[in-house]
Amino acid sequence: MNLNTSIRWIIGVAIFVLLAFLPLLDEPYYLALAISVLTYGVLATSWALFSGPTHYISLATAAFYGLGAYTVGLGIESVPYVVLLILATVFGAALAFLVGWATLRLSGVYFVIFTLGLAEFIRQVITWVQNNFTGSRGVYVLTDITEQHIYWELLALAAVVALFGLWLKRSRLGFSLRVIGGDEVVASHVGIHSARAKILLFTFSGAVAALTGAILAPRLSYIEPSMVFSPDLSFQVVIMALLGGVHRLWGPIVGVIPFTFLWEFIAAVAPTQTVLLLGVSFLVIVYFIPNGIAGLLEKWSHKGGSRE
Amino acid sequence: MLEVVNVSKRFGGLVAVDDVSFQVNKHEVFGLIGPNGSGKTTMMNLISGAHKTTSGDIYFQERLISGMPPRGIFLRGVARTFQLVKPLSGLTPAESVMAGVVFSRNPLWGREAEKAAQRMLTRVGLAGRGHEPLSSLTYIDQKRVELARALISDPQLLLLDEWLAGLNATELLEGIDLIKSISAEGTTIVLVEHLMDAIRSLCQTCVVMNVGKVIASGETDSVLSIPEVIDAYLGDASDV
Repeated sequence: MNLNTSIRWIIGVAIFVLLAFLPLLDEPYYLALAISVLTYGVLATSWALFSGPTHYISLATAAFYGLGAYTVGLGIESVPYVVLLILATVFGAALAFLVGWATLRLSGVYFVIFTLGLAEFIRQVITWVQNNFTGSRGVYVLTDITEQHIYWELLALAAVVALFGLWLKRSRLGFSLRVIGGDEVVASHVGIHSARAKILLFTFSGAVAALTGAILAPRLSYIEPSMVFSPDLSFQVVIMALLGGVHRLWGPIVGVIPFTFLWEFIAAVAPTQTVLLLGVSFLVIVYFIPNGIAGLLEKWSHKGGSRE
Repeated sequence: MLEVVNVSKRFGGLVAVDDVSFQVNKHEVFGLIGPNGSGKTTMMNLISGAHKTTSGDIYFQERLISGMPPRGIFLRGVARTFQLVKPLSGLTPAESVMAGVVFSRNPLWGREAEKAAQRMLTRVGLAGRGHEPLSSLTYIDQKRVELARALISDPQLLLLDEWLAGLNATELLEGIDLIKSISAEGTTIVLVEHLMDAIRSLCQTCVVMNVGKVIASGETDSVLSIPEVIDAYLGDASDV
């Protein structure tokens, strides 16, 4: 580890430590915003760890997120919250593993469509079950868990995702994903077990999304399928990650911060036009900044001659 | 070393490879030749595992490899290049070469793998260019990267699919010398090639395919003087 990497580690740790003190400011509005940023930050970063190198676009974030939220919603009356968090993670991982195993052998397009359909499928199943057997559309999540707790939980999860990302970047597994993204035929001809590598990463990102949903469930206090399985969430995560840039670990968070503020603004000014604006922003990003903000920043710093 | 026994490959109604058999001995440079569309590349894909055989068996070192995935065949010591270069976008040339050894039978990682990649790049004539962006490499240089990626795993059998095609006269001589030096180190080589001069100077034995079938096989010089072989090639030439 040279001086440069040591400094980076110190800065990284310092940022997380400083952020941990944010709830002490006692500013509810900023805390709420920070929770949004962390939520999308965690989801977009873990999404990009898989989709960034492999170019497999997953639209299943909402499926895992909703699964996590529902795990807490259905169990909160009878099972301790901590156990529910663990269960949600396990369920998310198991679902992602199954989906990955069934679809990741297929080419990219089929995978995209399947993942989009998955969230919708689970939503319909839960709606059907609730309509026919439970008599109520949603579930209440009533706990004494505060915004502060949720914030800290998300921050801890963000740290875990960041550490995993750093490890992945230096690992053979991470390298194999980049080769797979480069050309899958070559990958299979240089000894890479493509399916295994892809399923592993997809499972990780599914588990993280489910845990995120579980952490946020108490904040929602009332959960219904159309809320937590909303395809908007899956698309937002993809857009934010692309806006920031998926080829760097810190890329997605650079996209999440402006987008979360922009989203707050749009939701306040034109609440009925959000889907339209989501679509437009997607086009603008893909067309004008295909490598994201991270790509732009790197291009400028190279032009400035400060190439590493 | 490599034994192909009555192998056929059908794509729907098209029979790309039709009941082909041949044998490649250890330390040999073996030519697989024939006009366009004769099934040579399909045959290479069957050996490397990219395609599954419809019928027939392929043995490598007395073990059945047809039916195994490409990964398994690679791990037994078979490495290849592709007819149409497959550059790994997002990776530097050095990383592209490294990819050939990180997951191989004798895996290297980190500094060791980087050093090995630099050595291979030097060997194929790309010394010091490992960190250039991939887009700055010419088609020929990308072919060199691909050869380096195949060589770095220290394969026992190397499959070269028209690796010499598109090289200019000087590059061609260098390329032939390079293949000779690889062979001299004990690697068995199967190459698909159109260039008769290259085949004459490299291959001890060869097989000629036409429309999926073997029409001649044996020592290169005698095979290339068989009237049927000349016909097949002249037919090809008149198409062009």
